Amino acid sequence: MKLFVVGKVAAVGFLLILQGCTPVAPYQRGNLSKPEMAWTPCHLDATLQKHIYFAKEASSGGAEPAGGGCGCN
Amino acid sequence: MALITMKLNSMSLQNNRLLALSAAALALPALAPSAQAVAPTETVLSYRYSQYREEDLDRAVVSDINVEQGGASTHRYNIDVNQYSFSTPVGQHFAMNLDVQDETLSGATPWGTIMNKNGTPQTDDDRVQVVMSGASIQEHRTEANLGGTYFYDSGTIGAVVGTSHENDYHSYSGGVSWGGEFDQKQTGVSVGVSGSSDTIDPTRQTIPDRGGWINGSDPFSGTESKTSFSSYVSASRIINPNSIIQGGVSYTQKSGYLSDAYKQNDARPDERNQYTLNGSYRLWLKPIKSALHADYRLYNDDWGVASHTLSMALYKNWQKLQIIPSVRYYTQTQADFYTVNVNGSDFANLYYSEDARLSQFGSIATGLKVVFKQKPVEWMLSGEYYTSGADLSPGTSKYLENPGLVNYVKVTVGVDHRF
Repeated sequence: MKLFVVGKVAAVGFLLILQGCTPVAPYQRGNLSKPEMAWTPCHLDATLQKHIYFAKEASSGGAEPAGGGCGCN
Repeated sequence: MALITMKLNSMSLQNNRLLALSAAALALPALAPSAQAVAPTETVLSYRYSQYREEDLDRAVVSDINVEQGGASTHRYNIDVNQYSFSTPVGQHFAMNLDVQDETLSGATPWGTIMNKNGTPQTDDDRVQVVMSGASIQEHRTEANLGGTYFYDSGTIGAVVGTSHENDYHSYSGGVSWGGEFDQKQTGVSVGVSGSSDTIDPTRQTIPDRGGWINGSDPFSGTESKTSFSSYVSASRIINPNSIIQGGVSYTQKSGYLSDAYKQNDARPDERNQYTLNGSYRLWLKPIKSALHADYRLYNDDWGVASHTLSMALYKNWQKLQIIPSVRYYTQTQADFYTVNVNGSDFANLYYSEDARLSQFGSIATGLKVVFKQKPVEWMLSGEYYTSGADLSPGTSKYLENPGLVNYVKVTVGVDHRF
């Protein structure tokens, strides 16, 4: 139930942010297209990092495909 | 930028600039979470070598039990990792990539916990002790993933297959994803599903006195298997010329043998449903030519574990260097069936575990990465320090901490070559 409430708050917040968005023409998107603005600038580093956290913590997953491995140690 | 463009007197120069900016806009990271929205034009070959070292345990929290089995080791795992990646365009609308990760592990791992002579912990001096395996564990893991992405005018379609093999563990996985662009490419939507099938055949003869054995109900009976299914939906939106936001949800269901075969007392449910809520924000800080990254994940599952993860990083450009300091905070609640010391009465329960990773704790990871760009090559060096403890999670105390929690240092060197 707590998660459901947090989810609703997040969804409303996201919609409010969208309301505040202004149209951005393609020629204004130079900064947004820089490699360091990517969600995952280096997938190789992120893959290893995700695997280590998966093996050390009880939480995993997110808005991306799941990985493999035992994570027993 | 618009004014600059409008002031250009040369029509051809103006057209070239608009074309370049339009192409840049099409490559917006927001339009797909992990892939560009236009097909790449370069082949990239990458290599990484990482040394991962876990800190030794405090001798005071390591039990003398199992000394004759080579246990009582205060040492933890050392892992050496080699990573290789090859990505290349295939024609104008297709790209593929191959990632291979090879790990060599050695060291000792916690088998369980035990009360010290003072009984139930009340102070920091009464902490429970950890029963360690011998320091002779050697493992080797190899993982490979092959992916392909098709790029069309308003989106992407991707697929990936993967496999991971250890001495005792084999995993096969696959997934598909779709990313679409709307509203003059200011809004992106991405969905994906993936699944895996795993088998484990542990070398359990090295683990004495598992609780399940004592009660004749050992949950492990030879080669076991598990499957997982995962799905996600995310949406991103350009806020202004310097910032972009993304939100997403995911659901993962795991079923089968979900216990840890390398713990003395560990019997977990055979199904786990996991949910996440993600938010990400990217902000370009023009005065300092830097990109600020902020990511948050809320996690919850039906084992009783809930967690918060907050990560921040700054990508600072300075001539040919890029310097990236980062920090990550994580905190979780304990699983419903976690107990710091499984005893006789716990064996009457269906589920129980002493695994530190199912306890309540928090962790802080700090990192620094430096990239040197000398086209067509980029060199990188990075380091990370990770520390975890019960006192890093609100609402619990150090003396209730499971001493199996880990601190580690990771150092990585690498190179990317573009053709």
